[in-house]
Amino acid sequence: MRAAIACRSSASLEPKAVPWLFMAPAILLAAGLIALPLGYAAWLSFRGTRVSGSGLGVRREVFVGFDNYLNVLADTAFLSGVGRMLVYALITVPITMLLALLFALLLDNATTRLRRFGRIAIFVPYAVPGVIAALMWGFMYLPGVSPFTDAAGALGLPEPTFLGPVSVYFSVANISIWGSVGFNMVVLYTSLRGLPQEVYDAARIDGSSEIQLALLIKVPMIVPGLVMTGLFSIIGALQVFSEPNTLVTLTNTISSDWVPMMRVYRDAFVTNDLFSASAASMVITGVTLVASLALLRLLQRRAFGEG
Amino acid sequence: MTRFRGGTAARLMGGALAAALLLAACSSNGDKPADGPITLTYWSWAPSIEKIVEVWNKSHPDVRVRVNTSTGGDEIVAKLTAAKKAGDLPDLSNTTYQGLPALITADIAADITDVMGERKSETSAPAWTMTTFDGVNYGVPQGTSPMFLFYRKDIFEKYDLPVPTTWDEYAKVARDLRKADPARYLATFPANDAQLFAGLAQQAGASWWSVNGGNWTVGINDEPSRKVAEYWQRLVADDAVATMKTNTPEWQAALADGTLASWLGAVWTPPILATNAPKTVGKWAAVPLPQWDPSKPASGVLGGSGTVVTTGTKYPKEAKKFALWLNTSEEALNAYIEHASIWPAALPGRKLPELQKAPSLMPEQTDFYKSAAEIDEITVPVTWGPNVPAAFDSFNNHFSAAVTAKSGFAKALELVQRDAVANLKRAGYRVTE
Amino acid sequence: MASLATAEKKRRPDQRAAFWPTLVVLLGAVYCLLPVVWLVTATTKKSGELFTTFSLWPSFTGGFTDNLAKLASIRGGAFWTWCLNSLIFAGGGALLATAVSALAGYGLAKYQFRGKQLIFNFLLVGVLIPGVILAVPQYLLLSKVGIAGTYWSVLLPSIISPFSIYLCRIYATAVVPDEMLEAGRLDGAGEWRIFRSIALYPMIPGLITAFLLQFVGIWNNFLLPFIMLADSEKFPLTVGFYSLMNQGNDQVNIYNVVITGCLVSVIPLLALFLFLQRYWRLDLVSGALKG
Repeated sequence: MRAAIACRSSASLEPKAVPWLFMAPAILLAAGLIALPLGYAAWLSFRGTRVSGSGLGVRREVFVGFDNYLNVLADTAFLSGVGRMLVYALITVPITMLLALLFALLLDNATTRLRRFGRIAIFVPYAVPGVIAALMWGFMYLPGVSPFTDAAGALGLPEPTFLGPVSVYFSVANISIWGSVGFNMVVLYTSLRGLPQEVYDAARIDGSSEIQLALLIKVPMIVPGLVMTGLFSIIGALQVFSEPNTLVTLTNTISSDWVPMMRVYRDAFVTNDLFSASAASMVITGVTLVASLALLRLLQRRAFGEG
Repeated sequence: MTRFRGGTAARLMGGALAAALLLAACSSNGDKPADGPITLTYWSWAPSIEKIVEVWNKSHPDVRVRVNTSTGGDEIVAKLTAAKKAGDLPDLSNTTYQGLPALITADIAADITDVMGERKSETSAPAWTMTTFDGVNYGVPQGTSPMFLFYRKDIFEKYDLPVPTTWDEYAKVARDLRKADPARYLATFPANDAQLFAGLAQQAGASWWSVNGGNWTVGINDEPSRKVAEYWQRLVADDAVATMKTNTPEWQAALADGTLASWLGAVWTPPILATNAPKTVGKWAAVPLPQWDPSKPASGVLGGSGTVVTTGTKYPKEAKKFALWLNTSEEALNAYIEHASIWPAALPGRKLPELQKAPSLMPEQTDFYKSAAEIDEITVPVTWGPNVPAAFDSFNNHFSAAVTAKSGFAKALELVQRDAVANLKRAGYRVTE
Repeated sequence: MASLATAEKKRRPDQRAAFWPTLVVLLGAVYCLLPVVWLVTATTKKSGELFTTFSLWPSFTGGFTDNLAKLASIRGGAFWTWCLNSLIFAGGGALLATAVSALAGYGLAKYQFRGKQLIFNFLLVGVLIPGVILAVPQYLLLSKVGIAGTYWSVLLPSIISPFSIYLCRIYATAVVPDEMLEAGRLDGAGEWRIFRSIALYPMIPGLITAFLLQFVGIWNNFLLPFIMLADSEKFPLTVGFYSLMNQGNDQVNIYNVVITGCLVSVIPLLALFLFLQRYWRLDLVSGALKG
C-alpha cells in the first residue's frame, strides 16, 4: 500500500474530489440503504412495547434497554439454532467445494467427453430460485409423493427417509449444494482455463499422469479462486434461510427457529415481534462480522491481491 | 471479446438512465384527487376476491376499491403492524378472527360499533363473539366455519366401521381400521395445525385466552386441553393415527388415494377435497364432530375471517359502508358463493338458494348447510388473545418436536403455555397466571 | 482463447482415459437435471394426478396445456404482469447497479486517496450482511420517505451491490492500464472523459458479468419485494407465486399452476445465460485475473 503511493509520483494530477465523485452514487446508496437501516435496526433492538389504557388496551413503544438482547441470549432455542447452522455449514461447505473442484478439473481434462453438455447441465440449477429449488426437493423428499420412495418400493428396497432427525441436515444441505456447485464450478473452471498451458506440456513430458497433473499443478495454481469461492460458500451457509424455511411447512423435523435467520424471519413476520427480531439480527450481524473479518484479514493478502 | 465498442458501453449507461426515468415516471401514481371519486385500498387473501370487488366498483363509481391479495392470512397481522409503523395502512383489511385482538391492541382495527352495533340479531353468534370486545365491534364478520368430521363412506362400508359419534368411538374406529388394513389411517394428527388442536380443545371446554379488565389469562395448559392432548398422544403412540402435516403434497396424496379415510375439517372443506382428489367425489359424507359428552354436544372454531376498517383510513364512512356491503349484502354474498366458497356470518345470507343444495363433493348430503347452521348453534364462545401467532408458532415447534422425538404431548403443551405467557409479558401485556 | 486451441490439439482419442471422467461428469449432470426433469413432468399433470401418479413420468392427459391455460388466465392474467415486473426489477436494477458499481469500482481501483481502505472495508461488511436483516428496517425507512410500495422500493436496495463493486474494482485494476490513463491526462482530457473513452471499454466483459450476477440475484429475490410491496400489480414472479401458494388453510392449493409458472419463469433465465455465457468473466470472482 505504502509502496504503491510512493510510486505514484503523478498523483498530484488528480484533484482530490475526483475519486469521491466516481464513488458518490455508491456511497450515498450504501449510506441510505445499508448503514442507515442497520443503525435503525440497532435502535429498534432497544425498544419494546407496553400496554396502556382500559379494555384490551393499546400497545405503545417504549425504551426497554437490553431486555431484548437478554431474551435472545438466554433463549436455548436460539443457541440450538446456532448449533444446527454450524452442523449444516460443516456439511455444505466442504461438499460444495469438493464437488465444484472435481467437476472443474474433469471439465478441464482433455480426455473427458461431453464437456459442453456437462458444464451447462451442472450450471442449470444456478438459474433456479432458491425458494423454487427447495419446493421441488421438498416434494421429492416427502414419503407419500417422493419418486425415490416409489422407486425404492418397486425395487424392493427399504424406503429412504429424507426428513428424519439426522438425515434432515443432509437433505437441507443437498438443496443448497445442488444450487451452488455449478456456480462455483464455473468460477474454478474459468480460473483453470486461464492458466498457461505450457506448464502442463512440460509436466506431461516429465511423465506426470493427468491425475498428478490436476492435483499437483492445477490445484495449487487456483488457490486464490478456491479461497474466494470457499469464503462466499461459508458466508452463504451462515446466512442459510430459504431452504429450511420452505421445508418447514412440509415436515415435523424442522421448527420455525431451526436456524438463526429463520428465527429473525419468524419474529418479524409471523409472531410480530420486530424488536426481538432486531436484537437477534444485531447479534447475528455482530458475530458474522467479527468472524468473517478475522478470516478475511488472514486471507486478505492472498485473495485481494493489492487490497 | 473485441466485438464491443465504446458506443455499446455508452448505450448501456444511457439505457440505465432511461430505465430509471421511465420507472420514476410510472411510480408516482399514489395520489388521489381532492374531488371526484375516492379510492379505498383493501387487503385480502381470498381467491377471486377481485371479482367480488368488481361488483361493488360497477355500482359505486364514486368509491372505487382497489384490492390487494398479497398477504396470506397467517402474515396479515405482521404486515399490517409494519404498515402501521410506517404510516402506510390500507383503508380496510381482512383478518382471521384469531388475528383481530392483535390488530385492536396495535390500534389498527377501528371501532365500527356505529354500523355493526345493531346487527347482533342478524349475525351468527360465534362470529359476533369473536369480533366484539367489551361491547365494542371491531370487525364485520365474513363467515363462520362450523367443524365437521368428513369421512370416506366407501372405506367405512368396506371394513364395516361405524361412524363415530363420541371420541371413544373415534379412537376405536382408528384402531380397528389399522387392524383391518395396515396401509390406511383414519386420520393424521397434524402438529402444524394449532388451529385444529385449539378447536378440538375448545370443544372439550378449554379457554386458551380470557381477558378481564385488561388482565389476560392464558389457559393453553388447562384441564380440557390436557385431556385432548393425552387423547391424541395415545393414538399417536399406538400408531393408530398418522402424523403427517396437513396442507402438504404428502397429505393431499394421502387424502386422494384413501390412505387417510377421514378429515376433521370445516364447512370450507368440500371444494378443497373435490379439487385435490377429484376421483373421490361422491365417496364422502360429513357428520358433526365426535363428542366427549353426547348429552352436552359442543363444537369448536376452525378458522373464519372478517373485515376491519383501519385507523389509517381517511374515509371511515365509505370504508365502513364497503365492509358492510362486502359481508352482508345479497349482491356480494352471491358473488362470493359463485366465485369462492363461504358460509356467511350474516344470517339472512344463509337463505341464498345456492346454500340450500348439497356441495358437489357430497351430492347426496342435501342437508349439509342445514347441519352447518345447527353446528353454529352448539359452537362454544371463543376469545382469541393478542398473541395467537406466537402461541400457534410455539405449538407447531413443540408438537412437531414431540412427534419426532416421541416425547409426549403433555410436556409439549406445558412448553406452549410457558412460551405464550412469556411472549405476552414481553409484548407488555398484563398477565395473570 | 489460445488455451482452448491448445486443449483441442491435446485431445487424444483414448477410450479408456475418457471413461471415468466422463461417467463422473454425467452423474453430476443427472444429479443437477433430475429436479428439472421432475419440474417438467409435474407440469404435465392435472391437479388430481400430481400427487397420485409416479412423479418422474409425464402424464399425457392434456394436463400441460391445461396448466398453461390456467397459468395464463389466473387472476385476470396476473402472471404476465408479474413477468414484466420481474423483468423491470431485475433488468433495471441490474443495469443501474452495474452503472453505479462501474463508477465506484473504477474509482477504488484507479485513484489513491484517504479513506479508500475504510470504504473498501465497509463494502466487505455490506457483502456479509444477510438480506433478511436489512429488509425490515429498509422497509420502515423507505416508508418514512414515502416510497415503500413503489417500484423504487425494490429497485433502490437492488442498485447498491457491494459484491458488484468488488468485482468491478478487481476488473478495473486488471484491465485498465495506468499508463493509458496517464497518457490521457497528459493530453489534457478530463477525468470523466478518460473514464468514458479509455477505461470503460476494456471493462465491459467485467460489467456484463456483474450485470448477470446481479440480474439473477434480483430475479430470484423473494424477501425484499415481499416486504416492500403490497400491491399485487407490482409483484415480481417470486412473490406472485408465493401469494398463490399461501391463500390459507381453507383454500384449494394450486400447486400445478405454481409449478408450471416456476418452469416458465426459469426458462428466460436459462436462455439469458446460454446466450451470454461467452462474455462471462467469472474468474473475476476468484480475484486472480490474467488480463
